[in-house]
Amino acid sequence: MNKQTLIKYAACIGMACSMAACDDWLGNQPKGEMIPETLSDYQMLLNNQYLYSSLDAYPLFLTDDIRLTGRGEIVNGSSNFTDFDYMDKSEEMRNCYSFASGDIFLPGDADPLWNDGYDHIFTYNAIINDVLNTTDGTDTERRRVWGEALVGRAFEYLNLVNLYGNHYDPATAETDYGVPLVLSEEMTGEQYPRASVAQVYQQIEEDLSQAVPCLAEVTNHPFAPNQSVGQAFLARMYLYMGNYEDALTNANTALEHSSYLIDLNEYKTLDHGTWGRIVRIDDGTEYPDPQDNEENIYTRNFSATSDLFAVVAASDDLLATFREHLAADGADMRKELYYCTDSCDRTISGGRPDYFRGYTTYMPYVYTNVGLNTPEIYLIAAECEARVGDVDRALTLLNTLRDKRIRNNVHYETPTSLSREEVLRLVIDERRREFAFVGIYRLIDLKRLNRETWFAKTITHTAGNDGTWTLPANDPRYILPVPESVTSFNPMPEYER
Amino acid sequence: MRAFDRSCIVVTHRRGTVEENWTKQKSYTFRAQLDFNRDFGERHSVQALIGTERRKVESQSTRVYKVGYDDNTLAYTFIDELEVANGINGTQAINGRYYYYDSGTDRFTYDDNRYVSFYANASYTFDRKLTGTVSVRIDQSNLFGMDPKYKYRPLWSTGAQYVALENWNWIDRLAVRATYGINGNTTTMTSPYMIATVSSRPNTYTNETYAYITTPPNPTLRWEKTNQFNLAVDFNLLNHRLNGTIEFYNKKTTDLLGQRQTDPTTGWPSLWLNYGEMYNRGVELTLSSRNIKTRDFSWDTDFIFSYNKNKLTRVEASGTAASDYYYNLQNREGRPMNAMWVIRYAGLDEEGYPTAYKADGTIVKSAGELEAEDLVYAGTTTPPYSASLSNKLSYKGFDLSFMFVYYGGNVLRDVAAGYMWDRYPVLNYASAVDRGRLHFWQQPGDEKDPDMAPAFIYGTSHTNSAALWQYADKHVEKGDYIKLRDVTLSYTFPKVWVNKFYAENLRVSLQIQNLFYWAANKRHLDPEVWSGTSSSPSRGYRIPPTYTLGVSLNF
Repeated sequence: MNKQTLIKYAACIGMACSMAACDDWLGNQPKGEMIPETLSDYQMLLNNQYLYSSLDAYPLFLTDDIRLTGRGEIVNGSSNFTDFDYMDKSEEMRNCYSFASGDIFLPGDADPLWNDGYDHIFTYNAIINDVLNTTDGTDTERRRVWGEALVGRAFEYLNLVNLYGNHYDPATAETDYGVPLVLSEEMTGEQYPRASVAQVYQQIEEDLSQAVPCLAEVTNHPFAPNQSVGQAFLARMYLYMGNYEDALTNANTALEHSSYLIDLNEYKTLDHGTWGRIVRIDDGTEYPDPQDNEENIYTRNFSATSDLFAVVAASDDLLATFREHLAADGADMRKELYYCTDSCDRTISGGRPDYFRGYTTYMPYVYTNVGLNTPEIYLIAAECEARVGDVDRALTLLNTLRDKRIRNNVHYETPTSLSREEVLRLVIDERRREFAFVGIYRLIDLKRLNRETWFAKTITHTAGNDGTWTLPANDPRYILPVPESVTSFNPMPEYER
Repeated sequence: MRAFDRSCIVVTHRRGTVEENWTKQKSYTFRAQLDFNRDFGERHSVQALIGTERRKVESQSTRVYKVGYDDNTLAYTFIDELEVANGINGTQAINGRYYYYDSGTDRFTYDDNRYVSFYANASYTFDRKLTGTVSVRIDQSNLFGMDPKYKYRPLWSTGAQYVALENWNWIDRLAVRATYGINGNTTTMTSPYMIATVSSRPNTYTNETYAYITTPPNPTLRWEKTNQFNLAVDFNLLNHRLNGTIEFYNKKTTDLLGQRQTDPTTGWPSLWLNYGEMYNRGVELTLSSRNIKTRDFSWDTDFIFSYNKNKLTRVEASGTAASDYYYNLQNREGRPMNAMWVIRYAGLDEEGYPTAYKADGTIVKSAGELEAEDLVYAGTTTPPYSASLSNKLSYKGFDLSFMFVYYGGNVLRDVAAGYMWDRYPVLNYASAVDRGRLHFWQQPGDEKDPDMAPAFIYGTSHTNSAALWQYADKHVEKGDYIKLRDVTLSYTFPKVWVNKFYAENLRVSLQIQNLFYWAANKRHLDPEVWSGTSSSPSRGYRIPPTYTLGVSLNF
């Protein structure tokens, strides 16, 4: 055949061959992206540091720890100090502080508590549902990853149900609205209904009981839960459920694992600066970071610290609590280190301080932990002893904690002549001092303790001339509303607020 | 006290920092095509072609970042990256805490995109009058996470053309064309599988590699398919002095792909989904005429006009609250894409705060009290009409050409809607403020002026009424405009004269672009720079006319 035909046929064959080899050539794996399949893939998903942060600052504005000022209330000579002003705060903070009814967020705005919570739950679900099917690695490793994800998910749900649901009450928990239980990462397009508070707690309990035996004894950083996290978590959960006996047993076991407390008497604050202002008196090392802090059993960083540090004032109520039970030469180191009174110098090299005479602001500039730490276990154990156990032991536990928190501490006497209720009051006040402005501890305490007649209190918020508002005990406004960005796609029943 | 402290970090910037970026990009293309042309007898003629193409584009980059670097000695120092990544306190950085990855770290990227295409085309003409064509095309690429059946993107179309009249009286040629085809589309933004991205920077607390999920699995992902039908008439009339085409088209798209807001309880506040169907129907008219042609003077005109009607026939999963309608441009069932919904404005109250009407006529003072049925559909922000007219005149060596363009039929939001009063009344802002926003309520009685903007809302408890002004129906303006896009005046020197200077050709020209425009909106804003689709529109920077003077000399 002639040359032309030969070339024609060669070209045809060349094209046919190129068509055939396509699939392999197009099937290459990209770098940096993956479809999670192996155990190490799921471990990498669990290592995501954005899972280590939790919660947001705005629910704090519902509590009695916080105080804001009105326009022009703090005047320093010719200028106003406006950092604590009520009017300067964002919409959701103002709505919480003024105990507004109805929605907290502006229409169209996203609620970071809901969105971030369910975002983390999605990742945990992906791990929980698929990691046990992987084929590489050992079975222990697999179960450990599975257990860690279960603990993570249980933690998110405990926060969500306490923010958006009525506090656990065995009489009404079956019918009280909780939060939607999303347990699968499949995107089916279904509308998740609101589970009851009892169902959510049941899920949390189930997740924890399955997870705890699978966790490692020791992990190399407190962001990943180890076995003792299980007991500490259950202690907190049973306390919220009102099951004080089980809370006590778990708290005691947790304390056997770890009872380390940082001695705040060894620390002082620098004259100026923000981050790194709490340092040791002897060698100037900074207050430990969350991954190094040995008090932490399970670390979850509190998000949105910038919404709290040096921009809100402490209420008179809280400051009075700090002054209780101190010797003449004693001082509560938590107040000394974490708070500034009358003025503070936030410049790096010592410049002009801010003045706010008569007010105290919260500004520790350390990452606070809203997960589980030993002080909380001490206090859970103390509260349970005061309610159903040995009142003297409750006071001993308080004394141990206070030794590390109060300068020149004076012990509570044991054996004591105080009644259970009086000791309980001491424990609750200690909880308040330890966890003021940290996460939602105070908010949950208010919700659960308002049901007890000795505690029930009405909160009053003022903002100078801009308004005064009150919130009675057990008011439905303690429960956050489901955000409109959710109900416009997924209508669900809500509390009357 | 110790003699030294190993935990103390000293970062010496007495020398400097060096950052080097290397990017390598390689691309390969292989193409082969076979053409076939054959006439069979007098009346039959066949043309066909078939081809294949393979393409690969590979890009890779490396970044190296070192501190304490001296360019003379090429030396650098070690630092404890993990320690610095967790933040150092007491520095001059914002908030006093410096994070290593604020300035830059080592980084590697790699991308490899591969494409394979096949195409084939065949046409058969009978008697030089009737033609039928068929064409097929398949594109494949290595999209990651694709179900193999989604890796292909097929397009095929078929058509016929009939030359109805030729050289018949004043009709030089009249032909009718019809085509029908199907096109498909998919996206890399979602996948039937769950896709996670591995972060190149490790977890700063634990120094472990971590990954995060970027798209959830979408098992119902389908092709976006478009069926298109065209019918056109081509004509040449009056001895080729008037030529043109009228074309009708109807495009129907099913399984429309786009990003939609979803219930955040799923873990994702927005997702790429197949969410609906829509059609685009319209007409295009092209005319070109040679109006006058004499020896010295000629005048030609070209005119193009098009109208497109777009409507979404089916849409799934949209938010139902009032704010979901007015916050953004909407794609809703029964309406065109990019539609604007607005609130019925009821004027300012006696304190200067905005109010709105509900559907039953009652007046509300807060956006939280509005429902979706209280809103009004204002129109689409994408112009359905467009036209251009260009004329060219020549006289001896002079040429003058000018072109007008027109877009219209859409609506946009006026600049008065923007948030001026959402600030403190103390106007110490270091940014330019649109004059249209300075007309705000200051004392009782001002609210009687219908164009008055509200009193300052910031710092009061009325912030939930801000939306009542911002998305009010009084700010809806027509988006029509006509622009004189281009005017060119040129003179070509006579060849005879130019040749004397041993040159071939000399031409001078003056071109003016964007000389002026007419706009339908009341403030004469230029819709090409006016961000009228945003919720706080700005009038943008004026496009100045550009004058270009040119001289062209050929030897």
